[in-house]
Amino acid sequence: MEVTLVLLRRRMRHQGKSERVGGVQFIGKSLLRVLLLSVVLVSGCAKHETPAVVVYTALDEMYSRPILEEFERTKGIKVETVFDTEASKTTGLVQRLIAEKQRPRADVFWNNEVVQTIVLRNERVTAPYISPAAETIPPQFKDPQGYWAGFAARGRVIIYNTDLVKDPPTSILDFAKPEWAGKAAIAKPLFGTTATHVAVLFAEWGSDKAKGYILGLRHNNVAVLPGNATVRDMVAQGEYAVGITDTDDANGAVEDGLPAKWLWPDQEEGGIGALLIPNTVALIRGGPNPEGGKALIDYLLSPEVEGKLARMRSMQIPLKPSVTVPEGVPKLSEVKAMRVDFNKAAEKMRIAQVFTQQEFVR
Amino acid sequence: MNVPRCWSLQLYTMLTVALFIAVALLPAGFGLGSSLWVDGRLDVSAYRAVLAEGRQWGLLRNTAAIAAGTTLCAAILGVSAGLALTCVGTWARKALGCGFAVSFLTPPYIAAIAWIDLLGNNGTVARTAKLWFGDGVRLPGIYNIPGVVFVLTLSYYPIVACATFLAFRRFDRRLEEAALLAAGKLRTFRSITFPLLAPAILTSALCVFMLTLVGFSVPSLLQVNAYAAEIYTQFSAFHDFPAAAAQAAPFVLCGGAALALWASYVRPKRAWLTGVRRPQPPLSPRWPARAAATVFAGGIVLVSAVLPVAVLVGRAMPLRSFIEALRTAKEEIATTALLGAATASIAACLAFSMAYLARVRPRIGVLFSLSLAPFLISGPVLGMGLIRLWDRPGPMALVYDGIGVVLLACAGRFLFFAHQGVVAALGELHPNLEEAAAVTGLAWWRQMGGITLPLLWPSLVAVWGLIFVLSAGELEATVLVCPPGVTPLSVRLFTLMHYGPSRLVAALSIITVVLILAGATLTLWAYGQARKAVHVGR
Repeated sequence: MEVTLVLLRRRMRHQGKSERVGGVQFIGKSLLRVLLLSVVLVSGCAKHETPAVVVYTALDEMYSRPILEEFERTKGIKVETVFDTEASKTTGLVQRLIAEKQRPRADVFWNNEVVQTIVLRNERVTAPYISPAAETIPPQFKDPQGYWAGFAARGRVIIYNTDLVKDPPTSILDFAKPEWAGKAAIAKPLFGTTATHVAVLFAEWGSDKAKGYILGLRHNNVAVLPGNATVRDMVAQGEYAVGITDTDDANGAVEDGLPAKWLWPDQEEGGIGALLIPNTVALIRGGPNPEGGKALIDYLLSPEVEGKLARMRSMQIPLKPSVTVPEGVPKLSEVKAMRVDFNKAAEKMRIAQVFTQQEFVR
Repeated sequence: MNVPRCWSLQLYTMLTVALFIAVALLPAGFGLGSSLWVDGRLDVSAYRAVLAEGRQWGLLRNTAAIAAGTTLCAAILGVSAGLALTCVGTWARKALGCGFAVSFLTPPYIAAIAWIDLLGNNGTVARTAKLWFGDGVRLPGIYNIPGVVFVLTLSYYPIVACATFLAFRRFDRRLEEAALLAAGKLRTFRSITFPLLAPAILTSALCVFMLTLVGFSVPSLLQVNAYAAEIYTQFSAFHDFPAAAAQAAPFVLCGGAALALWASYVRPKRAWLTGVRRPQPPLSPRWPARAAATVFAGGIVLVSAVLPVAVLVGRAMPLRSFIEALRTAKEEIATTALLGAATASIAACLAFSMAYLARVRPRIGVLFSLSLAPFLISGPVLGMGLIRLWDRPGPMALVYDGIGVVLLACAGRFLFFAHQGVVAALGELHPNLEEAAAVTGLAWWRQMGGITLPLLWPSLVAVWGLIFVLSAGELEATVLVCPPGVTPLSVRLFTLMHYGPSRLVAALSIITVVLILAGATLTLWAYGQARKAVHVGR
């Protein structure tokens, strides 16, 4: 027994050496390689020395990224961006900003609508900043205390398929009428501009009338699609005859030569008018780089940015009178806009979301 | 195997358990716990509200239909494909194996993007049908439960196919030969072959069931309301942690029940498969059968791997789209590669430590079986748990504000798979070498470093590769927690998606698939090298 153990011990020593050559050395080398690779990758992803501005933006990446890249180039300030997904448009970022209120990571919130920005103000997530660039913005599109400022608006419009519809609806109320039963579509009213639209209706009409209208849509089998872009696509493809969407999406269908047109709703005498929703920008309270944030806000509110957004496929309507409107882009003065108290709409947002979730998301 | 108690092993155990708790248990606990612990007290009102809502039954029906349908279809397709693979020639097997690998390694949401382009309302098929049969033609479409089942089946059937193929090669063929002396081929297959393959098939089907149950990306893209998508909505629309977490309860119940059934009926029979250790040579059927099997398996690969990739490449053309995608997504590609490599390293190391400790201290294995929890509660709830746990001032912020939180999300989600992989590899390692070393008085850590680790190295490399590919495509938890400046490709893709593939989305999808395939190929090469280097003990 003793002899066996001694032999085994010797063999273990020998085996230990051979394993070190065959196995342990190989493992050591492999670990070293992984370590080196990680160092290279980490150094490649290392932070820039100048403090970056962190912006959360709900505007589609294809439109917001070139603007932010231009800001980086001209101002020399690095921008770190968090975009919103189409599945949780605007609302996802708003909830994230509320969750991070005690320890904000963002400096600026660039929203593609206004009501959720006011929700953030009410939640004390944003800080006041009156940008010199906001001076010429019409007063209904900015907060008097500087908690937010609007620029480059989009409108809620009716899109229709020209092959299927000769006499399109002219009011959003028509969507609850029997002649459009099963032929109309809207986006999921929990997110983005559709959520804003519903909240505005709750604020302007009162809860009872707004709920009646929503129920009317449901009973009329109005389809609820995931996003405004989907509404555009489905109408252009003839899946649905008419829909409510945003001007940028509707214009995309027209530019692509699809059989679709759009019109401003409720423009007749006594009509409520079309809902115009500006982009909004707000400074985050206690953000890590307030000075950088203010520089970005000044840039976003500049006439150049409004001009760029108007010239893009999104065709956003400039709010500043000084911006030259490209051909084909509607002028602010040409549209009969809905008179909206966005603050009241912000108060109704939660009620509107809960109601529409119960009715539409099954 | 038992190792005497000593302070160094105690310390190692404590460190491993602490890391396990930080990576897996705490995020899962904070995620699920937020439905029970509201404003500092126990509160079950979130569950009451969930049960009282009529629309929950619709969600439950949709989720169950997707999970059960996908599992069944993937099992049927996978078993057929796996059996076909056993009949084909060597080169065909290698080529088809690569095809299966491409299907599995392509993240399901990328496959969904391709299928939307092909079968969507205005997809290639619909346009062609309209051209041929006029505008009146109506196709079933893809935006429904069968559409989700179809996409997920084609993504997950390779799991079943691979398990079937390996099981078929491992069981003792003499049993079949003995049965054939008295019975026909069909009866032999029904009575002998299939029962011997069944544990492997059921295990892989359980994997598919769990992956489908908690996945939210494909139902979300195909506009089907399922629980995982609903959790994401509850979080992003209302920031209602309790309601969102309460909706993860069906996952835990269904997943737990399925796992309990597996542990009771399937696991004990797993030993049947280890009757023959070395893989047996493949079958050599006559040429008609071989040709039929090749055509069948080739057809599956064509539909599940070649077609989606070709659709995406076609959509992304011209070539400059790829250059543009590469230019705008440099940082995302680097982040994804770093994230995948780092997550895989963390998960493989932790899984090895857990499996080794469970081997020397079997009782601790019960604790480590909870590694399934972060996966089972679904990605969004795990993401919420991580936010609640790490979004705090002080040192915790270092994790939450950087890539650390994304690493934890991926490592936590996939730790179970890493752990199971290492446990399986360790289970096949006979303890005689370690026992012999222990008899000579070698310290436990030298046994582990000098014997167990080198022998297990090839398996660890394989586990590393598995976690790399899973992490590189992870979306469900990452989309909630990724901080500013840290955007993996999966999140960028999901951000760009407008429920239809644009040129940039298609190009980025192909880049993601190539990155994952590159990782898998590198792992395969490293696995081969490791097998060559560590040749003792097998």
